[in-house]
Amino acid sequence: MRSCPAFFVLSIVALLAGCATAPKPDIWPPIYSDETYLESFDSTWPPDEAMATIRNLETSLVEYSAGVPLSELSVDQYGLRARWTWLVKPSGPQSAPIQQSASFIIAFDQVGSLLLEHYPNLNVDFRWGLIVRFADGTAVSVRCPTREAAMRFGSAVSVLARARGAEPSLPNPRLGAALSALSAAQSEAAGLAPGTGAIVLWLFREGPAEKVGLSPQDIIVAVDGEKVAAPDAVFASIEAAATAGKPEVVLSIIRRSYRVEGLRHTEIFVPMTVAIALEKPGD
Amino acid sequence: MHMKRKLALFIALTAALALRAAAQSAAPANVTPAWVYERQFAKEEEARRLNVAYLGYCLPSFSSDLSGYVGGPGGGLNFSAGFESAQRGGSLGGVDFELFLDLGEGYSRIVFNDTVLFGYSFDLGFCRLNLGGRAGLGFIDWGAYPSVGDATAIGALLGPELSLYVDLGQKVWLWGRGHYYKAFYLSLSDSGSDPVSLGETELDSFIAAFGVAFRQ
Repeated sequence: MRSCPAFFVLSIVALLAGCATAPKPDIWPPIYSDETYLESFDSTWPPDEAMATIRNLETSLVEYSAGVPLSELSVDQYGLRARWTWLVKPSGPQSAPIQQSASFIIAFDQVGSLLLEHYPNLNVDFRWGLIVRFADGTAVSVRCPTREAAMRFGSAVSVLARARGAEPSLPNPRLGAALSALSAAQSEAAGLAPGTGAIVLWLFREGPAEKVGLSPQDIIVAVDGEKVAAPDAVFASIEAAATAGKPEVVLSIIRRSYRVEGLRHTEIFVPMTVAIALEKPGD
Repeated sequence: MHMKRKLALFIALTAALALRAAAQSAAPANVTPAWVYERQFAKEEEARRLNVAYLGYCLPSFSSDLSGYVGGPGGGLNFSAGFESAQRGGSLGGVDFELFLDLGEGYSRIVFNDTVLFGYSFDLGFCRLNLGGRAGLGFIDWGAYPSVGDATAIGALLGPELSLYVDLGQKVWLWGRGHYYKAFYLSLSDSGSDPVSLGETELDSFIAAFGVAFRQ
């Protein structure tokens, strides 16, 4: 018997040709599975009670990436110091595990903002968490088993931060959404002139934008009838309306959707308006 | 009075138009965002997509010139394997390998077909009906076969095809297929005594096959 290598080469070529498919480019922002909640973490606790609350939470906190419990936690009026350790097994067959450790510090006078996070798709416990952002732009993420634990931790950090003169802020609380400028491809697809509008990246859960039905990927083109050119202009217009004492602000939106007819679906862009009440959470 | 009636009519008409416009204006709750649809489309697409690797057993039936020189259903081991893919209802593509192996006492007869599948796939819910054809290359090898000796022939083949896939869930399908092809061969041997060199170049085949397929 003889063999014929050409057949096998042809087989591989045919196989590769059959499997090749052209990926459809997706120009729209991804939909995040993590959920950010707009919480003010207001509390009337005195600093001593806030420190005691943090100490009581020691066994309920894990560092975000490592996912292991904290091995040390100390807190005073100036800051919080946390340390955690874990074992790493080297690649060698006879090597003993090596202990590694990491730590973070929350300097209360440097706290810039606090965000409550939920990680519904995290395949482990500790699906709630707190992101502490500092004045220099860095951040620390801590995970907790329950929303209640994360809220207590956030409230305690907020109390101690305010006691040290910091003023933790909420990101655009009057809208409750993260925005971005539109890319050229997004503008073209939506039929908008370049440099027009702002696209919603994600919504803060339970925030004003979510309450009126806004969605990620919605495009805000005007505030109270005035066209907006960038995310900053959206926030500035809303803040100006609030300062002027208006009870609400009307956003003109374009929503990308589909017209579904049987198995056929056609991308459409639907204009709509929504009214956002100008109340800060907790007002 | 006449003016009042006109005014009332105008107000009523204006109110009706305003109400109609308000009823037609889109509200967020009435317009499903594209990404919600896209997740739904992706799930439906995944559920209805045929993208399988398959393996099965063939029952070949040969006719015309070369049928006496190759094995049949009882001639040995007859296998089919390949990959086939189609979207929920649409064009079908794939590649198929067939091997008909007949190992007798002191001789061997091998038919190997390497074909590209094409056609259209109909999504019938619990099953998929694929209609189309196949084209490719065939290969016959005789090893010490009486009246032939050692010889090899290469051919081109083309024919219609029909297959049915039944979804068993859990990424497993049962399939059955029937296809007919006509093949013409050229000898690759120098002896000049094999049937293809002597002018018997055609092989018609009807092949029924069945097996299992696994979703990729």
